[in-house]
Amino acid sequence: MATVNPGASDALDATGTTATALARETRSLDDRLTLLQARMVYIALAFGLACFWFGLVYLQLINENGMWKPPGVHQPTLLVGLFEMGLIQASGIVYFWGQWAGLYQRKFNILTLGLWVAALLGLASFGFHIYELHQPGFNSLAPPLPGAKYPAVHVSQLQTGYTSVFTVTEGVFTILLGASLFVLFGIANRARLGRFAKSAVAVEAFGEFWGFMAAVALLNFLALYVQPFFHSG
Amino acid sequence: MAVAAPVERRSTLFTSNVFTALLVAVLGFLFIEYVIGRGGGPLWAFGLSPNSTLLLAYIVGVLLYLAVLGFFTYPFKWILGGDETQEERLYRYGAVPGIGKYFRLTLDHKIIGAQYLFTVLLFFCVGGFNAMLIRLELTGSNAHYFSPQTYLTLVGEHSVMMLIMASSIIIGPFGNYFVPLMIGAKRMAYPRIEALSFWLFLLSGLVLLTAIFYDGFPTGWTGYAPLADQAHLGMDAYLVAFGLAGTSMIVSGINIVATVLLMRAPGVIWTRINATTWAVVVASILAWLAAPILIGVLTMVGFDRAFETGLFVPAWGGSAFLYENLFWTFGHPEVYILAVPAFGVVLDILSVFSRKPLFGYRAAVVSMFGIGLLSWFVWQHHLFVSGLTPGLRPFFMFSTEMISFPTGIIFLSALGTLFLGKVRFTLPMLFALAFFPNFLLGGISGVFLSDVPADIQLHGSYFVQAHFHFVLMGGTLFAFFAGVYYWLPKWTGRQFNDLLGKIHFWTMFLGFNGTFITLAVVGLLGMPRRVPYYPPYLHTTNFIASVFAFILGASIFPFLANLVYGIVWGKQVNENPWQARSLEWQTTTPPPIENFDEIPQVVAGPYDYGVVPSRPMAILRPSQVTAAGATAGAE
Repeated sequence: MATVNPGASDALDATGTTATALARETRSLDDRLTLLQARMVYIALAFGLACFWFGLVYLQLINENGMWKPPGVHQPTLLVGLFEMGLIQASGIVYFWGQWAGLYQRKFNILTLGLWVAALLGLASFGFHIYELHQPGFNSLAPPLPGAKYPAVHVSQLQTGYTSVFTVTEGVFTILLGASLFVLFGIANRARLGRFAKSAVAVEAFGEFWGFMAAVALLNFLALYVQPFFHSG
Repeated sequence: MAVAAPVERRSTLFTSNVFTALLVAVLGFLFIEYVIGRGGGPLWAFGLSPNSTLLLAYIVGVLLYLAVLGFFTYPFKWILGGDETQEERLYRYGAVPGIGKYFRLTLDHKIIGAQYLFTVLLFFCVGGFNAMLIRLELTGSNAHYFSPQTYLTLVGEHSVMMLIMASSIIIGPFGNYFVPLMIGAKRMAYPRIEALSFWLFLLSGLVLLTAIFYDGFPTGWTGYAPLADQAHLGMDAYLVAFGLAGTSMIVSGINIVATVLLMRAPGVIWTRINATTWAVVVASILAWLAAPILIGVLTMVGFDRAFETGLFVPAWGGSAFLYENLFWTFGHPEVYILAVPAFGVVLDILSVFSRKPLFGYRAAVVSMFGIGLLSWFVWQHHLFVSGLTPGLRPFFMFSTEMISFPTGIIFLSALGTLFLGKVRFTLPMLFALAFFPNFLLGGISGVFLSDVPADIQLHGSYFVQAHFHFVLMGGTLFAFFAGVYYWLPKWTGRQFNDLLGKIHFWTMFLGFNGTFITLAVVGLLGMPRRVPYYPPYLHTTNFIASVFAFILGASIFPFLANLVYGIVWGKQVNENPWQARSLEWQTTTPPPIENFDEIPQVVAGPYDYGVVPSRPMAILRPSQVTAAGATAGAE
């Protein structure tokens, strides 16, 4: 396709190139290392989490013994899933708002506010996850199996492909979310203490990671709540 | 970090050494497992299964171990708004006298390399001792020393211990110690996670040993489900141990890749990086991306065992194929995490002791990356007899055989380097040369096994076991010893005893080949793996294999004697006893805390042996050269 305004395009390219070069020049080695570390960590996590998503697709496709999601097995409430996912998306947006204000407009009070609000929204999502794992409601119509061996483990009430994948995927995500929130509250605390005036690369790096977590939450929602709606096994 | 005078600092409970850390971890573990987790305790009353309780006890033990070592001190301080002081940094970098720094959390990559070396040797001796017991049992055709369950425990402990050990055998000691030196860096990119990789590695081996107290595990190193779902509590030790090793591999991989990407000295362009560094980078990329899959699949087994999910239980909608697919998606790159670093080490050594440039350097480096890439596309050759769709077999047969092409290029590079070279048969060179016939046997038997008809006949037999050992022991372990004899004079400033070294080499070479050639024959005759019984007609061959295995086992003693001799009484040598070009040999022995007095300016490649006119690889004091008006950085 012909370029409508080649001059503008060249200018944009030139700006992009210059910005990249400047970023390389102005970022210290430690800053570049911090950003790289965050990226490598979430790429590694993506490979780990892919096991569960592969498990979901695989077990659903083969539907072993008709036990992927037999009649009587229910999904956890869609509303709870929506809250879990929505809160993390909101948290991500608020984080980005704070990051933008702090890093690019030097408004550190907004940065602090944004990080704290993002952390609290994340905490609310974490609470919903815990609640859901405790009461998944896979089989709300039927009573718990009378011979449940270990009553504290509610997921053992009915073993199917769907409930198994749901439990491991959401269980691991909840653990990751808890660990991430610990770091997020730490970053928010450092922002409160004014520690990011000189270098805020930690905010930037964690921001990328938090975006990754939001993407995983969205994918989990689509895979575990929306998609099985249309496939009951 | 500016180097200052050594500082003295007393240890506190939370910056303590490995012994305190292990003691606190064991106490925490016992508290969870036996005080509140067993009959009548709160966890028991809450309804947690024994598997859940044991896994929780392990997790608490791991966290306590890391806390007492001091891994959480800095993060907590950072979160609370503090930063590390200069005194703390110096203490952490080991700028204190004495050997105490080798037993605690230290951030100097050279100390971490040394910690890795001795831990690798410890694990090798433990795993090797298990192997001796296995061969002792197999001297007769009926189980006569151990019960079948104990035998399986021995097999499991041997295999997983060796896999954990081998996954770090070159990256751990040599990658950590020498990669920063080879690229002219002052330190690793992430010293804390480098240290974390070591301390998790150490703990993984120790946790694995605790499986013995819980009746072991029957699955060998592959941990196949649903057998793993049904196994004794010892299986939980396997899950935690392998998970810790996997985590160690991930953080180690991230650290090394970032170091080589961003920490190279001026002038270290891609073509001036030596083969060892490239090989370690390839293996690190594989570890970074493949080990998360291991942790994912082990987590799934853990959920099956602890929370009664049914991911691998067909009656509950799960599938054993799911496990096999996921495990081998990790498992085959894992083989190259172990093998590829060995290529780099032996290629470097061949070049130094042939006094010739590395033949086909670029092709060899590209081949290493090719092997790494192809290793992701072969996993289903492990499933040829598991019911894999027949239509898929040719693809995986072909992709597996494809790996022999880049491997062949590396062999060609080695032969081309040796051709018309002025070969010196030093100890490192002997081990490096032995790598090639050993690995060749492993590779060729691998091509046999990649063929579907042969694999169907030989699957699960001792032929496969021999193939695997030719690749990993004949390849990786010989390269490791080549590296030890080559680089240890740089660590210690002392030389090994040549006679003891040659006794070590010949007993190991003969013992190794005698054992595994015989076991390949045993496999062709139909003996399956992991079974303590065999028909009487296999007695003689098994007995011969055991005798050679004992010779192989005995070969470690001259090595250990030589190690002690070399460190304590060895002849003192200068900073570059092999007249090598690469950067690690250009600094003082032992290297200072920041490796070089000044960041070197690299102006040539590491392999310009015999090239006329030849420049030194680096200008080690660029500031002085510039001051004198010389042409620093002629490139």
